[in-house]
Amino acid sequence: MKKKINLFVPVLAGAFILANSASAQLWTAGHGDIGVALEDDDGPGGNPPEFHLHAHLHSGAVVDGSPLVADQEYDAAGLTINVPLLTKISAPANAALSAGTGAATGEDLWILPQNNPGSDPIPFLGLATEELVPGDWSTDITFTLGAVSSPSGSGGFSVWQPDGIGGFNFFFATADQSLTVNGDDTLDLGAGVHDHFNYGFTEAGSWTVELTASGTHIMLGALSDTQTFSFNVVPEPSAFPAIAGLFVLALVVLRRRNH
Amino acid sequence: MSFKQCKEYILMRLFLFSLIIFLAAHSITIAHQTDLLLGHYEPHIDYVVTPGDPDAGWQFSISYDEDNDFLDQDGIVRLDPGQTRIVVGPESFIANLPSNLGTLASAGDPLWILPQGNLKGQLFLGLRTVIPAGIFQFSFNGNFVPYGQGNIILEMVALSGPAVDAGGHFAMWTVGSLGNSEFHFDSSDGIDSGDRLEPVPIGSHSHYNWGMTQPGLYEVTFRASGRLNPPYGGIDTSATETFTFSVPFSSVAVGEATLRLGVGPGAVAPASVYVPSEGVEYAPGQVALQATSQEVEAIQRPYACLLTVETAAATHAPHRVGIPGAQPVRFESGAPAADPLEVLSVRGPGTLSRVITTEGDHGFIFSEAGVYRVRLRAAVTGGSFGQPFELVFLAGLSPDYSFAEWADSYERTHGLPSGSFNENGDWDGDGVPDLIEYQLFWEGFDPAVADAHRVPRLDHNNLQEFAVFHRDTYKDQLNRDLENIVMEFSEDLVSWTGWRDGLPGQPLQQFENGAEQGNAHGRIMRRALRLPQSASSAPSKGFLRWRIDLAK
Repeated sequence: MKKKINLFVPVLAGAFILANSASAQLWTAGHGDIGVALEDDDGPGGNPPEFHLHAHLHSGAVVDGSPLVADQEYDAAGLTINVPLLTKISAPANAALSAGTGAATGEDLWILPQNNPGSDPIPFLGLATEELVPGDWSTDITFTLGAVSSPSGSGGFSVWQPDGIGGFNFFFATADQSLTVNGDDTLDLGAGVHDHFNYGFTEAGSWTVELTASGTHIMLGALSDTQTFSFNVVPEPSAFPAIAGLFVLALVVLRRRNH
Repeated sequence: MSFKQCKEYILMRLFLFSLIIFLAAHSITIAHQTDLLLGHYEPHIDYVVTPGDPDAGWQFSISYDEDNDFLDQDGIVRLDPGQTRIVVGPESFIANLPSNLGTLASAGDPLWILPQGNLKGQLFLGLRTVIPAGIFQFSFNGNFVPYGQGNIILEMVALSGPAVDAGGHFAMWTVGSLGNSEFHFDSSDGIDSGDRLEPVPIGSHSHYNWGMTQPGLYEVTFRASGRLNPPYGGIDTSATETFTFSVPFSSVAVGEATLRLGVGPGAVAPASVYVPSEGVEYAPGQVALQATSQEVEAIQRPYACLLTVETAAATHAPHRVGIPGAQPVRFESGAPAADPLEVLSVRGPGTLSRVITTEGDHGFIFSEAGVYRVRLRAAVTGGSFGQPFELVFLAGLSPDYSFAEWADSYERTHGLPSGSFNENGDWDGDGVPDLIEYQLFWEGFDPAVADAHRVPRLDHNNLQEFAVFHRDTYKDQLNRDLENIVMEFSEDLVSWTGWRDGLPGQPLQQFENGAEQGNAHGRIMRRALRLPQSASSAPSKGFLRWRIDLAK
């Protein structure tokens, strides 16, 4: 619960927004989930409901610099999830952690945390099935990791929870999927729940992560949806971007003073 | 599980209710003991402004959320902590801790943990507060500032109960992304000012690891406190509440035990199985006695269990599974015969020979491996007897013996060829499939005997304990990836619902509740189907069936 202070965050967020595509909005803080819902049910005779994997951000989450006044849903293509520099560490000497994340001791590792970062400018990202009615499903909802694109093409992406007694339960691990709980980069959640995880990235830049959610509905049968989610992992400020960012901020300050 | 992996064994009983009218529930409710074993719950703290008596503004409960949206206050149901027990399921048991965990436990120790993550087969226990913004001051390390939305402080101030008396410890901690533990409450280093969670934000919902080091009942007392903002008096306010956690005992006596015999009108039970090393006393129907390889009277026996027979126990055991009250199990009248134990029948693949040792213990020696039901009664001088009871012995089997081991044992018991009993069969044609007879072993089923009358009976007049049965959490570990037995209820023969991992229901609706008769739980649990009781939701008729979901 200790507050972390990082003076670079506003600079980097500003720099990021400039670099981001115009269509995708940037989520930088607050609580949200990647989740599934049955949507657009037209009723008898109409189109069947759509099993939709999407992002659901809760009120107060910060998107494009402004807090949401109400919950808001986003298609995967419409949102980029920010992984700020504040989350970057040097991987500690922990063989199990290194094996799952792909970050050797001392190497860079950015982690979106399982524990609520509170007011820190870090997205608090969960996985959710809470929009589904539990009794309507005869199976768990399985999230399956698909293609992962990292800036270098060889970065490591991972999702895990610590087990409470010193070890880790990895669910996704591009470094070695055999280390994951199910052995195949899948994560099962019962319908009607939501939970939080750690998300690890081993390098800065733009990432895409393909996820498939699937399950068996008691009336509609097997359903699945595949979507690609975007993450931007914020790098250390090199001299030029940092100066450019400060320059941008300075301009903003000057403009405000002039008004 | 797919439909291919499901088997629905229709063991249905039609019944009709007369509609029973109950008073509407209070905001914090329920008037019956509730055991929470699976699902998502929170120790919950509300506070409302109560001018003139700020301490009266606190309300503690154990809550769940009917709509699963924890960001608003809709759908919150609050249970009375004094009537609710948080029971630790079998998947939460760590037999050998891989490394030291602070001062709580050492490498190699057993430990029970309700985990911070929402894991299959485990109760997901968080902590929730619902407090309007601006009532409390902000605090940090005990310093208060009238700032922001405010927060409260939660402390563990006392710990008691039979498990604690036996040396058990209780802790609550978070684990960071890198596996680093931060303990908030931990009795293993004493209960002091360090057992403090601060700040606890208002309107928060967070999850933690909750650890216990021994089986038994823990009474954990928390104190919530805060300093009110100046408009509300600017003073400190606090309140305490006790929450109950229960770690089930193993329901197994390995190689030896004390058999206490009860005779006479005042006897609390005809027998109990007491395991002195654990201080636990079981009703005979909730414990398995393992017959192990050991020397009895200078002869090595492959399958032996030594019973010390007691007829004049002075006190009850501190932990009791299936035995109510505090009355010792003993002869309340009469005197024990020279041999106080009479074997009435033995059903198992081999034979039983009983050897009285020079120390006076009763060696139960079995000739071959398998499951044995031994029917006994206490013998009283003058030729009278106590009530019959049955002990279950597992010769060369562990308590989590498989269906195949069970089938093999009964095939040898009845001289039937191998493969007679199988997961898709009903050899005795009694309408109770072999797989259900295996899961409901503790109801007394024998797969070679038409004994459908052993299907748990329905009590139309008791919606709290509408159908009572014994759940063997070795055969069904409550993890939906493994085999489960589910008691399902329907009002229309179309929509069936049952309590299970992944769909554990809600305590005020149809629910599988604990129905224990002692102060402790065992892995062989006495359970009951609870049906809705409010006038608006009580069913007027319904159907019941048993279902087996095979391992995924």
